[in-house]
Amino acid sequence: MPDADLGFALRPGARVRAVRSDDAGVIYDVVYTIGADGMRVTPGDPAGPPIVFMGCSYTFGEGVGDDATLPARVSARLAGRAHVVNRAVGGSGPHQRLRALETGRAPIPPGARVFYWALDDHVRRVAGKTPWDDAGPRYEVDGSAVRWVGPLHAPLVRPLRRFAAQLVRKGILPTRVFGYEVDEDERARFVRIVVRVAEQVRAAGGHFTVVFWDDTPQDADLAGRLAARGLEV
Amino acid sequence: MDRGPLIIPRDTHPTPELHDRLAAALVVRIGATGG
Repeated sequence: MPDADLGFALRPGARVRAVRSDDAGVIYDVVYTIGADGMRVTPGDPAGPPIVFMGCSYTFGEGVGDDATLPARVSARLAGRAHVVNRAVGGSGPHQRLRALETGRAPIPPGARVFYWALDDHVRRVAGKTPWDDAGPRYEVDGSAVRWVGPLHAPLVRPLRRFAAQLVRKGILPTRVFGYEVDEDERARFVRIVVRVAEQVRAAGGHFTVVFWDDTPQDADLAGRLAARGLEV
Repeated sequence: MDRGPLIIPRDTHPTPELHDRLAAALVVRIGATGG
């Protein structure tokens, strides 16, 4: 659902049947259940040691049932003794998680193990170059850190972007009209945002780890930069 | 041992098998208690 500060968020209490199919038949037919806290439900013990997952649709578990997501499987393998939280949102990036932390919307439980599952595509999302994120938080590099400066795109240009997004979905325009390629400044911005997330987690007494879903040269480059900044990758 | 496909066929997202394999690896790393 639209979110004035994060761009979009999961609808609390939603239970959605997600079906994807093609000419060959059904690809998946699963249910996504969103808790009252606006996060995909994950079984566990709320009194147990906290484990927080951040990420995008991969970590959210697009295409798999509530009991088959990565966080849910971790919880199951810990026999339900941990408090596992799935804060992943499809299509999102670390800029949304940082904004939620900085505004106090999603505090880190003391002692939490926090895992941010990254993709190199998150650089594009942080840069505001996706067709689907108009109002997400924009961070700009400020010295050695980053600073929130408002939404990714001004309200005046959003109707034009939405129209262009429709044309992209219909195949009339290529995705690159949104600036698919990322540059060095945008990679640096991504790294600094993730570093800032790590700082927020550590300040709350948590332990932060970045895991990359893929091992492309782009992923390896980002992983190296994050490790060079002292992050566990 | 065949542990299933990594990506949902005709899709771009991880399969339940991959989620579970990664979960197993993560639990080994963080310890059986999660704490």
